Formats: sequence, structure tokens, C-alpha cells
Amino acid sequence: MNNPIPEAFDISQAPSTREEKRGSRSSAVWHQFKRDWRVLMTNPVTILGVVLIAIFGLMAISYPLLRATVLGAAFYDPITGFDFAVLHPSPPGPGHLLGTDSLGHDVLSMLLAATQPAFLIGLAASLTTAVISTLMGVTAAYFGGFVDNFLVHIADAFLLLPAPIFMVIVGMRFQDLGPVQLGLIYGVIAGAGSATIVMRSQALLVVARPFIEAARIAGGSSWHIIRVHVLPHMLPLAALYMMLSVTGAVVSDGFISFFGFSRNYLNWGTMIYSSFVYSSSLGTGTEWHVLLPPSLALSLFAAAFYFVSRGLHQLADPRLRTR
Amino acid sequence: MLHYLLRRAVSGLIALFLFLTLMFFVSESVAPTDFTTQFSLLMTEEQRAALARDLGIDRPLWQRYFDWFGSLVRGDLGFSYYGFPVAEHLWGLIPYTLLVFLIGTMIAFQIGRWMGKVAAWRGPGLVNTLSSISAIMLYTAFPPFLAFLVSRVMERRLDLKRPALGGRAVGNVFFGELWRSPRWEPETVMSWVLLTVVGYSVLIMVLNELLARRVRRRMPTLVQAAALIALVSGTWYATGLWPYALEVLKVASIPIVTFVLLSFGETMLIMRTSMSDTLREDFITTAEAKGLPSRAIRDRHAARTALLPVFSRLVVSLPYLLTGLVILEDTLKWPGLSASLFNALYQQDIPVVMGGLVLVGVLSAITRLLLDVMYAYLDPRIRYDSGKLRRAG
Repeated sequence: MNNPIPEAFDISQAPSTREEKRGSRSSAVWHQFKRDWRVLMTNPVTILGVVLIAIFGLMAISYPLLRATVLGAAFYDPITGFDFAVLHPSPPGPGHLLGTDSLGHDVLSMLLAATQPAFLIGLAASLTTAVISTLMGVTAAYFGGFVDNFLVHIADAFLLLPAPIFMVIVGMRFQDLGPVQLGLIYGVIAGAGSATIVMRSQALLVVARPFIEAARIAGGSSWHIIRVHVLPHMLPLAALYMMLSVTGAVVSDGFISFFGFSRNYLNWGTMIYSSFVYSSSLGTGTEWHVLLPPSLALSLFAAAFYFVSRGLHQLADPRLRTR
Repeated sequence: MLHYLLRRAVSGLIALFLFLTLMFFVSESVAPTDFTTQFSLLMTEEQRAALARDLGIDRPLWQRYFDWFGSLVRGDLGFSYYGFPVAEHLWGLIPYTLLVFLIGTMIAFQIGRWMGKVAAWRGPGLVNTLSSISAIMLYTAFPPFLAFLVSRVMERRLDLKRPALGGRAVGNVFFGELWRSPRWEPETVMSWVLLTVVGYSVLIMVLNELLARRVRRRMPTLVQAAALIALVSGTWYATGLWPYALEVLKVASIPIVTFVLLSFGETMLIMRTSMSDTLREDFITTAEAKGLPSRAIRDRHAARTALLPVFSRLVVSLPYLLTGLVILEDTLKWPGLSASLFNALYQQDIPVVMGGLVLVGVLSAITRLLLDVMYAYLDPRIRYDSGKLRRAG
């Protein structure tokens, strides 16, 4: 017997056990998700948020379908459409369910067309916020000392920076930015500012716990400890800040368009802007049927993600769970 | 605590420096060309070059940056490219912004605190759900739309004439008989209104704390409010400021109300969460077991402790509040800081832009420091850090 390794430590059997382990791990993740979902669904505010997001999702999906079928005529195009059969602006009626604006665009068509960019900008902003704030917060808390000071000062400077104003300034200069780019910019500012500060204080609590010390003594590398032991504890809070970031990004995107910049894609802010500008310059009075739908859509879209964040707040803070 | 505050102040200064540096380069590079381009139809190429040389904008960027920062350190905001001194220009705008921001924040904070307290005390239920839904809806409402609704409702009721929404021009918002030959300019009236309201509130707060220390009892909120109103209106009446102050507040009420509606929701939500957290603590059970009246438990034991997270959260959300204010000012054509900021950006008048940003930065840095002081005062762990601080509070 020249094999010095006892059978118990023989790694030749590892693959099968590892396979099993991975299976159990993914099902554990699934169980965790189901448990979290059940907690989320006890909160009526969160349910409302999920329902609203589902409705907006339907709107985003249905737009290309409707354009291909019911809204097929050329005058339903949200940008170039003009219906010669009616006087513009026309109130809601059978041909145009939400009426038309002063320039002859169909309001319903514009409303639906603006949903997809809103989702895109929200997605880009939330992912960027989560990645940047988690990276900065965890790095600052884990390494401490000089790294911590440096990152906290950067976060403080970003905290002074009002993201929506900055977005308006950027939107002024680069008028052809798409929703994804704008979302990225917002995500960097929001993520490096307030989100980093909150993530850092959460990470400080995690890092101070005994199992991190144990992992360090066991010889785990910094990257391993952060990835395996710290990050899972940051996820609920990161999700919370993702939701808040969607709210902020969509509203700031609305601001850019509301000030009359960024005509690259249609969004609700543009509709509100044009309803203000044309109603005052043409002297037609307030066109409520043009103003109300985009304003409500923008406010409700922003609110929906905030509603969900209330439930996530419960998840991130277990003390609130029983309530 | 002094050490703690000093550290906070220094880190605030560093953050301010980073912020201004970043913003200088951003606002310089945002402009595709320079200030003189807007006169390209009026001037020849040589004249424009001469103008650029006069204004010093033909020099490299880093040189301008050091020049600007050097004069800022000496307390000089420089001259606008149109020739007027920036500091003087901004000085006339500060009262407009501060009036809305300070009074709005004070009202929003009180409303949010009270609503959060009551909602948490009632416990989960329909009222709780509905109140948090409506608070969130107001908080995330698109500010221009909310401003439009508020001005629509209030204008007719207050019989105000206001400039139209949309478009860029920002001008006077004070019309009417009183301002034909006024004894005071609107800006002066605003400064006095601010000074009396804030000064007397601080006075009442200090008195209240002294009272609490002497006889372990505080004035009820209603008495405080009544005392504040009596003092403020008495002073206005005595100095003859009364009609002007009323007129100013009437015109300012639209931005103030919009700002309050936008910002009270967050305070309420945090207050509710932290209050229902506090209600599960042992000392609340102790207070109940002692047989204290439930009002005393709610107001004196729970609400005071629950305020801490509200303050720490307000520090973080301050930029959002300020931004809301900036957008509101622009929508309602309220001639505050932001209106000037955006106009200057259009004209690429960088000294004015940077002056406005310095003010925004300083304003939020000061507010954060104030919130830090309040936090330190409310949190016994910081207050009693060292023995001698007890008296200093």
C-alpha cells in the first residue's frame, strides 16, 4: 500500500458529491426565494407594487403587438402620426381612446411607446447602483483604514451631488443619449453616493461578526471571504437600493425631457413637457387628457418600485419581519 | 462631542472640495464651445477672440480652475461674464430659496413626525396601509406635475397672478398694489420673515429644553405653535412688516405647500418604521408596567427615541430634497437659486453656475452638520461620551 491518503480524504470521489451539493445548493436558493417571497406577499403595499409593475410590463409587451394589429394605421405612430380626419387636439373618443395632442399624436400610442424605455433606464440604473454600492461599501468596510477613508470621502462628495440636476446638465450636452446610457450615469451617481454609505454601514456590521474572523483564521483569501461570507448578507439591502434607484432614475429621466432635452426616444417627461408648452403657447388651456396619462404613468411607475422596496426593507431588516 | 463635530466638519469640507472640483470640470466640459459663441451673429471672429481674451476664457482649463479656486478660498466668487459680481447676484436669490426650503422642511418634518408616530401607535391595519400608500405616492409624484396641480388649486383661491408654466423666462413674482412703492423690497421682507420665524423657533426650542431640565416637563406642541405664531406676528405688527410679510407668504405658499407635500412622506415612513421598532423594546414594557399613561409612553418614551433614525436618514436624503426644490423653483418660475443656475448654464456663464453650485454645496453641508449636531444631542451614546459634555448638551 503506497497510497498515503486515507480513504476518507480521497478526492477521487469528489465529483459526484460536488454534483449533489450543487443540486442541493440551488434548491436551497429556491427555498430561500420562496420563503422571502412569502414574507414579501404579506405586505399589502408590496402586493400593490408588484401588481403595478406587472401592469406596466404588460403595457411594454403589448405595444409592439398593438402596433402590429389594432394601432396599425400610420396616424397612430407616436412620433410622425397625424390623423387628418379629426381636429387636434381632440378629446378621448372611439378613434383615439385617449385623444390626441396639439400636434396630432395619438396619446395612447405615445403612452405605451414610452413604457419600454422606462424599464430599460430603470434596469440599467438599478444594476449599476447595486454593483457599485456593493463593491465600494464592502471594500471600505472589509479593508478599513486608508481604503475606508478614501472611499467614504468619495461617497460624501457624491452625496453632495444632486443626481437629477447632474442628469439634466448631462442631458443638455449630450442630447442623443439613450435610456441605457442615462441609466448608467444615474446608477453611478446614486450608487457611489447614498447607497454606498448605507451599504458600508451594513457591511461593517457583517464584518464585525465572529464567522468572518473564523474564515480569516482558516486561511480564506479576502476575495473568498467577501464573496462567500459577506456578499450574501448584503443582497437584500442591495435589492432595496435597486428599487429606490429605479424610482430616482425614471424621475430624473422625466426631468431631462421635461426641460426639453433628450429627444432621442419617447418618454413620459416629453409628453408632459409638450402638453405644458403647446397648451400655453397655443392658448388652448390645459389639455387634461394629454397631461394626466403621462403624469400618472410616471408617478405610478416610480411609486410601484418604491412600494416593492417597502417589502424588501422588511426582508433586509429581520426585526421588521413579524409585522 | 466637540471632537466628533470637528471631525464631521473637516470631512464635510473635504467632500465639498471634491464636489466643487468635479462640478467645475463637468460644467466646463458640458459646454460644447464657450461663452462667446452665442454672439457669433453679432461679432466678427476677431472681436470674439478679443472678448475671450478679456474674460480669460482662452486660457487652458487647469489655469482657470486654479484661478477660480484661489479666489474662492479668499472668499471671492468672481464676476459673471456679463460683468456683474456673482456674490451680489446670488445674495439677492438666497432668500427665495431659503424661505421655501427652511419653512417647508420645518413643516414637513413636523407633519411627518406626527403622522408616523400616530400610524405606528395604531399598529397595522387599513389606516396604516392607506397612509403609507398615499405618503409614497406623494413622495414619488413627478414634481412638475404636483406643482402644476397645487398651483392650479391655490391660485384661484388666493387670487394670485402668476407667470405661465413652461418656457424659460424667470422674473418678478410679486405683482399688485403693495409693491408699486414699497417700504421694503421683497428680498428684505423675506430675510426678515425667515429671521423671525427661525429665530423664534430656536428660542422656543431652547426654552423648552431648559424647562425640561428644571421641572422635567415640556410645553405641549400646541402651546409651542401658539407661542411661535404670537411672537412672530407680534414682531411683524410692531415693525410694520405685517402687510408685506403676509403678501410674501401668500405668494410663497404655492412652492412651500408643494415642497411640503413632496417631502413629508419620507419622514413619515422612517418615523413609522423606527417607532414600531421602539415600541417592542423592553423599556416600553417597563413604562407600561409602571402604569404610565399611554400618551406619556407614546410621546415621551417612544417617539423621542424613534427620532434618531429619522435624522440619520434625512442626512442621506437631503440631496433628493434639494433637487426636488430646484425642479420646483424652475417649474413654478420661483426666482431662486436654481432658476439662475439653469439660466446661467444655458448662457455658459460658468462663474455664475459655479457660484450657484458653491451655494448648493455649502447649504447641504451646513444642513448635514446641523443634523449631526441634533443627532449627537439626541443620542445619549454620543452625548455622554465624556463626562464634561453633560452640561454642554
